[in-house]
Amino acid sequence: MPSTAAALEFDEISKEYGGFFHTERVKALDHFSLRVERGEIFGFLGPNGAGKTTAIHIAMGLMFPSSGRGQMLGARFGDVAARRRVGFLGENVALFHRRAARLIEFYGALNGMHGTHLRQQTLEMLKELDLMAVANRNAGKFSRGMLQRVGLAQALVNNPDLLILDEPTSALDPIGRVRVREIILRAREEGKTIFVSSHLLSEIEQICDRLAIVIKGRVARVGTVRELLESQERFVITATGIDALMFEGARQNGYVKITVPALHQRSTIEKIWLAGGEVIAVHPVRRTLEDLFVELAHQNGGSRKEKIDGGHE
Amino acid sequence: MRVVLLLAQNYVRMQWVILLIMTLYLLGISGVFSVHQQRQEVLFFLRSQPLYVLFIALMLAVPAIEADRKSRRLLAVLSKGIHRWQYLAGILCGCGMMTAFFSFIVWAMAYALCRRGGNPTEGLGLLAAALCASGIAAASAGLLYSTFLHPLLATAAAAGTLLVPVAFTTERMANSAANVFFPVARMVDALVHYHFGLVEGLWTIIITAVICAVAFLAIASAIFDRRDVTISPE
Repeated sequence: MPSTAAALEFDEISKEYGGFFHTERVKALDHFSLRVERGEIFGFLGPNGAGKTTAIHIAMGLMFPSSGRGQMLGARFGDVAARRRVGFLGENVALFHRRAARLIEFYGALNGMHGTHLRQQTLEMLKELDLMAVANRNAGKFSRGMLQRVGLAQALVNNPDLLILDEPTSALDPIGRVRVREIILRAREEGKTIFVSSHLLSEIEQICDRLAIVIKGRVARVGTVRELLESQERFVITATGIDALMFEGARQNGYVKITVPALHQRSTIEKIWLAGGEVIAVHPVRRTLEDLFVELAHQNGGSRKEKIDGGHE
Repeated sequence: MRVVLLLAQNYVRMQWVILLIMTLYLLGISGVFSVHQQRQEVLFFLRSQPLYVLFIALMLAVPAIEADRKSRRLLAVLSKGIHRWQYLAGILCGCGMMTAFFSFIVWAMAYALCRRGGNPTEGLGLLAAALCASGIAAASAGLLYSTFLHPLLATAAAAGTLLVPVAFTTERMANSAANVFFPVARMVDALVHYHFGLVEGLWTIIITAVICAVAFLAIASAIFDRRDVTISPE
């Protein structure tokens, strides 16, 4: 375990919601533990109702766990000083109806920024997110995509050490998505930590160093993208100079690709050599994140939250 | 303090429709009363209109948290480096600003009406100050109950708490020690029985109203500090 404090750490956190008169209690998080190291882009995935937003809201101090504890930037969840160093963009961003530039300044000022520094940062964010043309327009009249950009600007205005983004690109057009990706990657280069929850799996796969998949309030899988997607159980052998039919392989660009279980890897290579062929490469089978996601969701019996007194949903 | 003022200013900005309507109403009703300058009519203005100010102060504070919560605007605010008490103080301060503005209009209109009708104007300023302080106390009670109750229930609970002595008094409220702790009820009582000139006990109302507002805010903060402010959309 690294000795420095993690950027974000959940330790055995459970969260139960009660219905009216506590008739129907729902467990959103169930002994949820996760550690996000400083300086990484961490992807946070899970089906709807898995508890992702609950976990994020607990980290931000907007909710309190039923049990367990956690820390953010070395301080307990909800710590005011720690929150000043965090940028947060919630799902379905909702902001006050004010001019975009004033709005960003307002949120920056709430984080203790003021004067020239605040104005400069606001200007920079407006430029960064292509908001200069609408800086003096009321954000209440913005489209969802534009509002999302203002939401990102208010999250970034305080130059945070930790950026927590819940569906940051959900309403953005492709150009906006690319821009956000660039911002995230640049933030990592500057040593910041980015914790991003998204349903856009391809995006997560592209930018994240590590990711966790949450199912029914628990971490079902956590690791680097490579660890999670590359199976060590099956390998693809790329060979040349052999008959594809003989090895039940597929011919592709003049090469034969043969998928074999790990146990048969060595014997298949020997067979290729005996047949006079040449082995070009051996790779572990790489699944897509979508394959893994769907597989885990099925294994864990769906995605809905678990009713405490009513058994599993 | 800067954060509280920022939030207060933002709150007032968000309530511009109410601010505009109430201002137009007060100016309009003053215009209507200015046509008639009989003593009884001016007295009716002075007895009735400040009650609306108290009511508006309560009604401004009660739905504030719920509105921010339901619109999810609360997330962006409370995720910043601010304490929850600062958020509540911002709302209360905003309500206070609006109440002060309405009280000022009531005072200005009452002063003008009294002058035109040849009625005494002394004590009107203190009455407006007491009205403002009572309005803030009413808003703080509304805010307190709205931290854990639905706005409808919070309105009923706050009104009940503030006006308990009025419910049990058939004549004038006695100046007893127990009633001192109900500045809003005393203010209502003073307004209903107002008859020009100086009103006794207004300074007591102002002081106890401020104490009540601070106490209610402290209790509201303690409760709000322990509550989940969002429900997961999942």
